[in-house]
Amino acid sequence: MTTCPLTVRVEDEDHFTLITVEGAVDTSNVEEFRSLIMPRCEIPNSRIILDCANISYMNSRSFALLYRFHYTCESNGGTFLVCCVPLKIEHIIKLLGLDTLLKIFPSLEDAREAIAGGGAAAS
Amino acid sequence: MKSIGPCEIEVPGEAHSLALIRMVVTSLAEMAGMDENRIGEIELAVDEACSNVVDHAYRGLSPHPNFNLSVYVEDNNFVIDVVDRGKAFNFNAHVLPKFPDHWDDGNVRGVGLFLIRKTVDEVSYEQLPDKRNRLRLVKHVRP
Repeated sequence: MTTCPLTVRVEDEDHFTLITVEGAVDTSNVEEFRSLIMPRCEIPNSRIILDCANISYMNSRSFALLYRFHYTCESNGGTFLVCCVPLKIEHIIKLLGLDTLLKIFPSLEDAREAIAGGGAAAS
Repeated sequence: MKSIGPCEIEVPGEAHSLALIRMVVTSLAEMAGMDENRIGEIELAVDEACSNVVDHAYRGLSPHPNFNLSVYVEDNNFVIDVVDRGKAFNFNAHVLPKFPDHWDDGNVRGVGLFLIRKTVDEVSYEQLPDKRNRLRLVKHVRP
C-alpha cells in the first residue's frame, strides 16, 4: 500500500538522541511513526529530543503517540523533549491540553540546553 | 465572498487516499480566502472524518468501498460532505473527552472526534435514503 512520505532520522549525539521527523503523519503511516520512535523511548534513562520543524501534518493518533512517547520515556527514567513545533501543530497541541504535559521548546538549541541542564522545564 | 464548487471527488476507501483529500481541501480553502490557521483546522477535520471511515465504518469490509467528497463554498460557509458506504455511526451520541484529564487516564480513544468537533463550526451526520452515511462539516471562511 502507498503511504504518505515520512522520514524519521535517529541520531545519537553525546548526551541525547535527536529524532528528526519530516513529512506528514496520517493513518497510512502512523504505525511506522510509532515503531521507529517508541523503542527509543523504552530504553531506560533515554534522553530524547524530537525535532518537529519539518512535520507538515499530524493526525489525532500521532498526537496521542506524542503523549505515549513522553509517558513511556519518563516512566523509564528518561526525558522526552519536543522542539520547533510548527504553529498549526502547536495550535492543536494546545487544543488537546498537551502543552501542559509535554516539554516543548521553541528551538533545538533551547532543547539541547535543557538536556544539558538535566531536562529543565519547558518555556 | 467567493463562491466555489461543488467540487466532487470519489476516491478509494483506503488510507493512501488521505493525502490527496487533504491537498484538495486545503487548496479549495486557500481559494476561498481562509486564513492559515483555519485551513489547518479544516485539513485536520476532513482527515479525521475520512480516517474514521477507513478505520471504523469500513472495518471488516473487503475490498473497502470508495467514498465521495463534495466541497463547496456558499456565503461564508466552507462545506464538506463525506459520504461513505460503511456501517452507520451516530456521531451525535459521542461524548467528548475532557483534556488534559483524558491523557492522565491513559486514554487515547476519542481524540479524532474531539478534534473534528473543535475545529469546525458545525458538524452533522445523516443516514441517506440509500443507506449511505453523510457527515457534513461546515467551517466559516471568516470567523
